Amino acid sequence: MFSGSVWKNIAVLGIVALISGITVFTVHAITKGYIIKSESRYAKRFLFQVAPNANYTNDILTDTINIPKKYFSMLGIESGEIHLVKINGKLISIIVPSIAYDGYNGKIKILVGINLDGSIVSVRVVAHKETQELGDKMEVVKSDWILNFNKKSLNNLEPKSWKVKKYGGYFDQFTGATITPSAIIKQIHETLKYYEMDKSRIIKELDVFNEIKVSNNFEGGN
Amino acid sequence: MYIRSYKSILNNGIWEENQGLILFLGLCPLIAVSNSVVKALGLSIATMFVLLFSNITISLIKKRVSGILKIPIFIIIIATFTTIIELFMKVFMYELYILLGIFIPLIIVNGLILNRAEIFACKNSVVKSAFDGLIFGMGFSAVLITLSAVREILSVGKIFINMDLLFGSAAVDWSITIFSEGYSFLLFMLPPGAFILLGFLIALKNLIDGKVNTLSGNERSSLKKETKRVRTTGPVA
Repeated sequence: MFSGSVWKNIAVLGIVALISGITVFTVHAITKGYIIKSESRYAKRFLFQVAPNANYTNDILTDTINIPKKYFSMLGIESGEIHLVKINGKLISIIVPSIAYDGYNGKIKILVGINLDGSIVSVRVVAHKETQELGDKMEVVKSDWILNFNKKSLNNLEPKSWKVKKYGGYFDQFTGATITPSAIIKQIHETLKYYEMDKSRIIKELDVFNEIKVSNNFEGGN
Repeated sequence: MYIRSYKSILNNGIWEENQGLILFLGLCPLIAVSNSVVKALGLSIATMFVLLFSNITISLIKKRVSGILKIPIFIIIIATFTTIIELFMKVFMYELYILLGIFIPLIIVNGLILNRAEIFACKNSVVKSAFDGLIFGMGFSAVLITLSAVREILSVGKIFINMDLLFGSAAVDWSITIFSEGYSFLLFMLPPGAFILLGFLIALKNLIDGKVNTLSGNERSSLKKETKRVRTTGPVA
C-alpha cells in the first residue's frame, strides 16, 4: 500500500493541475472570440489577393461550396472548400485551394482564383517549407513571379507550355531553383483542369441553392 | 545557499551567467528564431512573460512544494503560463505567432526557465524572484535580439523587416536597407550561420572579460575561473 506521503503528493499534484486547468480554461474562454476574429482576418488576407479587384458584396471567407471527394487527389487536398466571389448575388469568380507535393521540401499550399471563363484571376502561395531565399521567390513579397499566372488559362496556354523555360515551357524558373516552380506550375495546371471538369456542377449547384439564374455570359467562353 | 543581492542578480543575469552565452540554455530557439529581429522580439516577449510569472508563482508556493513533486509542479506552472501567452499572441499578433510556430509551445521545455525556477525562485522571496526572472529574461533576450539583428543585416542586407507584425501598421516602413538592394547571403539565413555568429558573440564576451580582468588585477580572474563552469542545475558555487 501507499504510505501517507504518497497520498499527500497525489493530492498536491492534483490541486496544482486543477488550478492550472481552471486558469487556462478561463483565459481560453475569454480570448476565444478574439482568436476566431484574428484567424479569419489572417485567412481573408490571402483570399482578397486572389479575388478580382472589384466590390464584391458577399463574405468570401464563409460563402463556400464543397468539393466532391473524387477531385481531392487531383487538387492534392484532404479537405477544403471552394470560396465564392459574388457581386449582388451573381457569381463572378471562385477560389480553389490546392496543394503541390513535389516541391523541394513538403507541401506547398496554394490558392487559385479562377474566373468563370476558366482564366486565372491570381495565384498565391499560402504556406510552404522551401529553402529560404533560394526557393521562396514564389512568395509575392519576394518577387513578381507568381503574378505571371494572372489571366492564363487552358485556352491561351497549351499543355506543353505549363512548364519552366528550362524544359521548353512558358514560365521562368528562379535562379538556382527549378523543382519548386515546376511543382507549382504543375499544380496550378491541375487546378485549372479540375475547374474545367467541375465547372458545370459548381454553376448548377449555385443555381439550385441560391435560386439565382447565372446569366449566359458566364457560361459562355468555354 | 543561493541568496543574492539585487546588484548581483543584475550582474549575473545580464553578463556573468548570461543564459545564452555562458550556460547555453535555450540554444534551440536561439538558433532557430534569430533569423529576423521581429521573430526574436516576439519570442523574447513570450519567454520573458513566462519566466517572470513562473518565477513569481513558484516563489509564492515554495514552502508547500518539496522533494519529488518539485519538477512536475514547476513544469505544470510553466506550461500554464506558456499556454496563456500563446493564446494572447493569437489574439494580438496572429501572423507573428504563425511565423514562430512550434517555438512558442517549446518555451515549456526551455531549460532557462526551469533553471531559474529550480535554483532561484524556489529559494527566494517573491520580489527577488520577479526581479531575477526579469533580468535573466533580459539577458537571454539581449543575446537573441543582437544575434538576429546581425543575421538580418548579413543575410539580406536589411534590418527591422516586417516590424508591422509586432507594432501594427505604423511600423510598415521601419525597414532600413544597409547593403545594396538584392544583396543576399544564404549562410547567415540558415542555422550554421547562427552558430558561427554565436561563436563570435561568445568570443567577444570573453575578450571583454579578459580586458576587464587585466585592468582589475589577478585576484578577480582567479575567482572567475571557479564561476565559469557550465552547470545547468544546482547553484554555481
